[in-house]
Amino acid sequence: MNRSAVDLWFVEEVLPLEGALTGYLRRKWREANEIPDLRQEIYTRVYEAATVAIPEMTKPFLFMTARNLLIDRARRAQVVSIEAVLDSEGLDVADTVPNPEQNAVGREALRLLQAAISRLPPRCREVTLLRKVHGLPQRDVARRMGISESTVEQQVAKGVRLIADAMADIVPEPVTSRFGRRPRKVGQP
Amino acid sequence: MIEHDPIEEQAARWLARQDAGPLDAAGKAGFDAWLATSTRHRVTYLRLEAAWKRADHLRAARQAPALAPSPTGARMAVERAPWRRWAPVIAIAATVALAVVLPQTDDWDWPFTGGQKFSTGVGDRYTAHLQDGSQIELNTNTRLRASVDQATREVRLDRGEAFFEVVHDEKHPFVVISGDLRIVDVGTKFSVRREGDKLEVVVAEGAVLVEDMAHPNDVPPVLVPQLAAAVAQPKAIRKSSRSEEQVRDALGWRRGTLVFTDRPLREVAAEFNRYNRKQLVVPADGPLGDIRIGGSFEATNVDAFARLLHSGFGLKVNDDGREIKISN
Repeated sequence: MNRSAVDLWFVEEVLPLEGALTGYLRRKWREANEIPDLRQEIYTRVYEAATVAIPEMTKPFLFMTARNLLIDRARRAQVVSIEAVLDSEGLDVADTVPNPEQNAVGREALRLLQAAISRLPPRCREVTLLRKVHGLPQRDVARRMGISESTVEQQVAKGVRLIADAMADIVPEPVTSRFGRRPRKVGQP
Repeated sequence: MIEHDPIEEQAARWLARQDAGPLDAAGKAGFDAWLATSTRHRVTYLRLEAAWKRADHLRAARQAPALAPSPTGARMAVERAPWRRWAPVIAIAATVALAVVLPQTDDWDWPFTGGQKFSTGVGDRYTAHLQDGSQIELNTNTRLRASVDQATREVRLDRGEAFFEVVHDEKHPFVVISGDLRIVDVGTKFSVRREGDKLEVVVAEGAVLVEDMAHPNDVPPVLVPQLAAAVAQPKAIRKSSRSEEQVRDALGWRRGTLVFTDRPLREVAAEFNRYNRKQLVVPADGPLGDIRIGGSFEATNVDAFARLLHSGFGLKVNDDGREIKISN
């Protein structure tokens, strides 16, 4: 897999905002089961936009995209009043203050991560622990647990999805701003 | 619960496959083609990959004992090598059971609390000796996890049946958790048997408190005294008394014996089937299953029991090595 600058931007700047984005979607969208799909659609849109030009400020851009998608969907589905999406809260996305959640790093993030793993189904948890905490390769995990390698692989596939969902609220190390928040050049429109 | 999302399922499979080892040329081509199908595929994969990589922080944290937040953790840091608190260690214990030392699983402060897993196979028994002097005898096909040290005494019964001989400690109650039900020891010898979400508690000595943690307002805790039993299910805990003999019979398995008094064959067969791979098959309907059985039998000698059904009751017994079919 060849990694592009957009991939890097997406992983380092967009994904850490998942907790905030999910919270926003929960407040704005009544159908909770549609939120994962909305989130993925928002990611797709911001990623595609970034292939043209990486946005200067990731957070406002992400939330603006979210808001626009919700308006589109609400118009089509006519389930949520458009006003609900457009109300004042939708406007605070333009704020440029540092994200408070970026302070929640290290210890707290680790605790949440542990909590996420502890809630996995037993076999999946054991695989994840051996693979990630103990650092064993999948083959050795299989041998230790007396299960087949393909079963381990299946459990990894299951575990990664559950962990990704559970870790929505975790923000890793502060983002060393490789992208965005760059000072505007003088004279730029 | 994982949401149904075919793209995410595929992304997870690709990730798990590469987590197992590098892709071969065909695999690489397939993966690249899959990624190129749509931006949604790519962002979905990147998201899962980021989460999976982030879990590596746990490994780095193994070297950071300062993270241990509780006095328990601190004390354990002295007693055990640091890696042992973090990493699952698998050890073979005794001859009968496999004891797996894994971090305590269901509570939030894992992996700071230690824990031990004990399990038995079909027909096996095993006695676990805990740090606090208490003993747990595991009956056939049983699995439990014990987290017992000076601060907490907690056992989770995942499956099967066990007999507890608890060293009483006023300040640190011994707690058995099974699903949403909780049994708190009040100085005791008692057994707990789990079948799905149903629990049967028989108290031989002392008393226990049975609580429904999921419905604390609907179901008050029930105190089960000596020579009594309780059958507990979510939202329903029923108590009944037992004679000394009945309690002894209920605990016959500790000697490897099944004791029945006037029990229908259907139930007796189900009981034998817990201890043996070779299963007794009794028709679900009809009078055959209602035949009353009494006596004391060796739990793992199902063949002897089948012979008795033939010679004593004149029933037909068809043994194919895997199953013993009983008929008229």
